[in-house]
Amino acid sequence: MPTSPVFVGSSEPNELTRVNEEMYKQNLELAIRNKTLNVLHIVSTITINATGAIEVSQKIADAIVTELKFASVFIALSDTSGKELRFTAVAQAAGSNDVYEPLLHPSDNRTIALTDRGNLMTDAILDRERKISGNFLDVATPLVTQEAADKIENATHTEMIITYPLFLGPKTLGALTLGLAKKIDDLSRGEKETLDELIGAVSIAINRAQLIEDIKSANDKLTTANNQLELMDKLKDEFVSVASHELRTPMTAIKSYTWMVLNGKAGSLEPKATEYLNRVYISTERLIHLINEMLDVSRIESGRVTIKKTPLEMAKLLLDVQKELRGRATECSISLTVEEVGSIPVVQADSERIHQVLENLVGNSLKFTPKGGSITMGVRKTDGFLETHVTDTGRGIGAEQIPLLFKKFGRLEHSLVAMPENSTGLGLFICKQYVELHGGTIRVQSEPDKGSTFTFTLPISQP
Amino acid sequence: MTDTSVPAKKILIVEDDQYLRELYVEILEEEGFYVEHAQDGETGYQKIFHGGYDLVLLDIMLPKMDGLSILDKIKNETPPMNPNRSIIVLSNLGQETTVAKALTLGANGYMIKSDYTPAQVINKVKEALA
Repeated sequence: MPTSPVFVGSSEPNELTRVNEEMYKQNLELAIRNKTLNVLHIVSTITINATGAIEVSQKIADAIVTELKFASVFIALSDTSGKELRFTAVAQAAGSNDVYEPLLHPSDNRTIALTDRGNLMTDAILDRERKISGNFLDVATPLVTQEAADKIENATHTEMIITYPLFLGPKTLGALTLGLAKKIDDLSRGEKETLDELIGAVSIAINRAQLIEDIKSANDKLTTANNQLELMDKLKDEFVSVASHELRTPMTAIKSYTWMVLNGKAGSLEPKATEYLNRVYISTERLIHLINEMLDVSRIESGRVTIKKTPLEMAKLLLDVQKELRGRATECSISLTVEEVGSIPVVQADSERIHQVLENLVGNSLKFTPKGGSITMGVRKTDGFLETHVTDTGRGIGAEQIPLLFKKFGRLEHSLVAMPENSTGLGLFICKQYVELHGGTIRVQSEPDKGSTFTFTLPISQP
Repeated sequence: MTDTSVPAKKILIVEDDQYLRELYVEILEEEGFYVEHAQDGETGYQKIFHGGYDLVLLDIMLPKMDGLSILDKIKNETPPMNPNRSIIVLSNLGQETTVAKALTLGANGYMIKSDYTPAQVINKVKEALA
């Protein structure tokens, strides 16, 4: 006698009686193979269109029942922690869906612990092999009673169950249980092979669906986090803006009234009073400058700085800055000169920002150059860039300080070493950001007691 | 012509900070301008709406109505009964978006108060009135 086929609906035996037993077996296996290929194709389509693991498991269960004519199919999936199993899909050839309710929605939201043996699915998963049973309760325990399990058996005409563990590498995905309408000793070799292949495809489909779910959930979390960050960023920006307004208003009053007194609007002053008030005025200016720089940093860090490029004549900008700071240079007995500029192209740049960069560099040189020293600005064309430099004969910068220069507050994280006098430590950080936003670079060469040269580049042709 | 035959240029200062308001009034009057002032947005708007100023120095953050809303009302709702020659924002708000918005709403200039000494404010005012 040939092995009776598990897959109901295969070739009619009355036509096969004339061929020998071997042919019969081969034909039978080909038929199974054919159906399996068909269901594999369906599973691969489900895999490609996967959205959620539960939805995918239901589609697979439906496809197996429809295509392979099993009495029933049950799929249980492991939760993300890999600790428990829940039924996610049930399909049957006949019968009402009501009987599955205790499986899909068990009372008290009970689950099957993956570590507990005694359930056919956990046994199959722990032993990593398929398991066969004649009692449906074996897969349903401890979710339902024997009575409820019998009801399900009867409703689906399930006589026997074969449970396969679903794995992908070391990852436990769950278990798939096939319900057979009749009792058998075992599956044929061909049936085993093709079902193994099917189980492999199902595992991939479910894994993919879970990954997509994970990505989607991660994505949702990121979107939420991002929205919150954007909101906080906006609030921070508003706060900084309003706080700086609130700070600037009294600073303006201090600055303006001090100016009034210093400029004789309240009568003449004793020399000492003038000297002290000058210090009040200078300190106020420093504070205003600090507020302005902190605002700049806040804007840079929130990505709100936009570079408005217009044609910029660098040579003219050097002369403007010279004109602007000549007074301060003269007061300090420092010569401020601009080198002869050859023929240089106009660059596309944000003139206000570049003005600020140049003003900052010359301002720094003024701070650190002793009386009688000199500051020279120059610009030249190099390969694809305009290179602007500010050279002074100041006290220079020690090699150990150079890496810190362009950092915020000019210090390493957690360091509280103060900046040299009159420095906020933000100016060069801002300069670097502005130059880099233009696609340029900034660098420094310095020797203690000899002087420093700060150089920044701006690309000539814009991408 | 004598000085008195030339009417003084009329300036309105809308500024809520008492110290700054009094300071600007003082230095501008000293320069011979006719100066009016308002300390909140609503009063400022009433005066600007009545109009006829050679120059308005307008703050942005103001009680009752902010400076941008004032600019918006006179640009997009009802124009002033008498035109104002020039409106310059004089504020301590310096956000690019605020500056851009003020200029789009018809401000002729934007000054950040803390950047200017009284002498520089006078220079700017004279430039605007030239």
